[in-house]
Amino acid sequence: MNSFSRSVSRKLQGLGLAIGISLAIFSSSCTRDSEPSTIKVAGGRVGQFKGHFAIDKILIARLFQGTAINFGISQYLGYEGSLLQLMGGYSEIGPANDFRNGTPNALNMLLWQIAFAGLSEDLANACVSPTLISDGIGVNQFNDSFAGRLKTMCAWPNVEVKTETNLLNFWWAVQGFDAPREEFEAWRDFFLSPESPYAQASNKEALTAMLKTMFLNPYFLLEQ
Amino acid sequence: MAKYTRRNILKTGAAFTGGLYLAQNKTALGDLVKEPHFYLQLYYSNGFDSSYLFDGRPLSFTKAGKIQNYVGADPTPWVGRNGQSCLASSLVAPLSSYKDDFSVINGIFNPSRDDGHDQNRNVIFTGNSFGGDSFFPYLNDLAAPRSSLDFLVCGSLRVPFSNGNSSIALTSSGLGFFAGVVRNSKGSSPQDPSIEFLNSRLQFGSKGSGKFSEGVRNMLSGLGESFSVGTKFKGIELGINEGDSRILKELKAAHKLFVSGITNCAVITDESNRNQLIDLDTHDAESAANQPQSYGAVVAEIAEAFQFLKNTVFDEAKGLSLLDVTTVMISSEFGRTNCQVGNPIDKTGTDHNPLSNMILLGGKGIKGGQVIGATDLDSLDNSGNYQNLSKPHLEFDPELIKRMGKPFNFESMQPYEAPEVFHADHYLTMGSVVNTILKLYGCDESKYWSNTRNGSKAKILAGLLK
Repeated sequence: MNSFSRSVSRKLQGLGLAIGISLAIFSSSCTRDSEPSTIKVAGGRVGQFKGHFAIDKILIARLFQGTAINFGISQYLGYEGSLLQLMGGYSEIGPANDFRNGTPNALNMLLWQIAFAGLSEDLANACVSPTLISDGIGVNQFNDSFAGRLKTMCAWPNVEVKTETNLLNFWWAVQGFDAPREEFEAWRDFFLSPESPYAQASNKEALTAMLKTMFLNPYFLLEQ
Repeated sequence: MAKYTRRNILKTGAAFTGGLYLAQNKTALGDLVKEPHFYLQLYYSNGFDSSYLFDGRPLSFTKAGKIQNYVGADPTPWVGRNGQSCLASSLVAPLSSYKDDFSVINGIFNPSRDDGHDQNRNVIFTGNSFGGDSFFPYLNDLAAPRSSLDFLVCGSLRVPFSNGNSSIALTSSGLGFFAGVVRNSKGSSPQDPSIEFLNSRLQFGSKGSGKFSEGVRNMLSGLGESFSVGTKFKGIELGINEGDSRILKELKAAHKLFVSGITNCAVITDESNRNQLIDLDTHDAESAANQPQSYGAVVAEIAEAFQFLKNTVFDEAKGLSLLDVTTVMISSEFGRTNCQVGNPIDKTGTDHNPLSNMILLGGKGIKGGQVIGATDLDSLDNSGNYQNLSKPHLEFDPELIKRMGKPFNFESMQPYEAPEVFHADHYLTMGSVVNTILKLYGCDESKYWSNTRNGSKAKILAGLLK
């Protein structure tokens, strides 16, 4: 990470919830090509899930255009609210600040896997079928930053696309600056290695795996 | 020092393999000794007024203005096999068929004497007004085999648990939907290279000592177990019918999750899947007047639960029903006051009473048909005033509207009249109830609850154990 990026990261990390939400709301007007958004949700729950609501906000801010998008991971779970609650969320009963099910367990990890497997495949599917990626959401609703980086990665497994810069841009588009550099390096090495099971995989298969491993990374899912 | 010769390596390998074989045999034998053991708790929020269940008072008390009785009938003796008795409301008649399947525990005293719902609920489930460790994970640790999730909440439960890998708030309909989602999902397998990579990153991140690393460890163990849970869920058909009552739906769900190995402990609550007939927070006279209807519905659900547990075959070859392998607790967070000061006895609501609670305990390992414990405010003089009032009662309830658990002799299993000096360990508490269950499971005493901070461990109710 260069000094400019570190500087941006430090600044963004200090901005807090309000600005984070503002980034989500006004993401279409941000200079997204150079500054992937980083949303920090309320603290005090370090090591717990950020929750389905916060993850939706992050995904909308980083992947899609502003607030017009009607996206939510619930679409991969049959729009069942009680399942979303298992992935971390504020209780609809009791005290307003009562965050429930923030601790990862077998059930909610299964749900995150199912949701992100579906989302990753839909996003990667944009490489081969550039229309709707899921219920009412088309690739034309990607923000320019993500769309550009995804388009670049769609050239996989061509050797030209397998550069650190391309992978870092793709990583930033999804992860923002949430994860430390070593997480990116491990991810990069896994996919760029000649022995990688995805070295010669189709663009859809490889990008599905790339996206899924980013979404399920603890720095993406957990409060820090 | 041994040389690393081919011969020595082979010898060492053979010895290691032999040891492993013996260890596995020993483990297998140990597992065989263990029996299936599930734990089921029916939790009713807002406090049992036990005068409508198993701690009634004669109508003469109502006529004296001491306790509301909207049933309008005298309670009758419910005599336990241990010779103790209580006065049972006529509303509990449907439970007569199951009298030997559970024991009544009256007069459970909350040493913290907090008044709020949340604090008392926390005490019931964690032994602490502020929440903390649940005893469910201990039960899962000792169950054979250990289940994927430490416990499951069918409904919703507002308790800040600090341990255990699951406080799943999901009703039977949610569980059914969940099973459908899992069945229809493409899912991943542990052999998927992307999952293997993720696993390696979680292992790397779990090595730290901070809260984030703890979360990563939870993700790691959750990920590992999630494939097994997914497979188990794919095979689940809850067998719920449209016409099933709400309690039957939850019982069926809990049963399926028990036998599939997803969980060994389930709490069925009424907090988000409410039976509309049941309203136990009867602060106003109107809702208090509906208590016969509410407790009638509560009793009907309890009876249906015992019927389901007894009629559901667990092991046909061994002749075991689900009740034979399940320890069952029926509880609320506290009791209710006899009345409210200033309101006429036929137009009074009831408030919270942490000085006495009532629990039904039955199923595997529990002697049924007993009556354990008692409450005070059970005797009037000729002028219609309470008599034999203890000093602790006068201190904790000067208005004399809260029945209070009587001190309890844990050796003779008999209540006795309160001494002048109060000491929490003299009373029957939730700690004693939970420690009795922990004892039943063979849990290490270090996990036992104490009645007070830094106090000694609450005594178990040995006479309740088979």
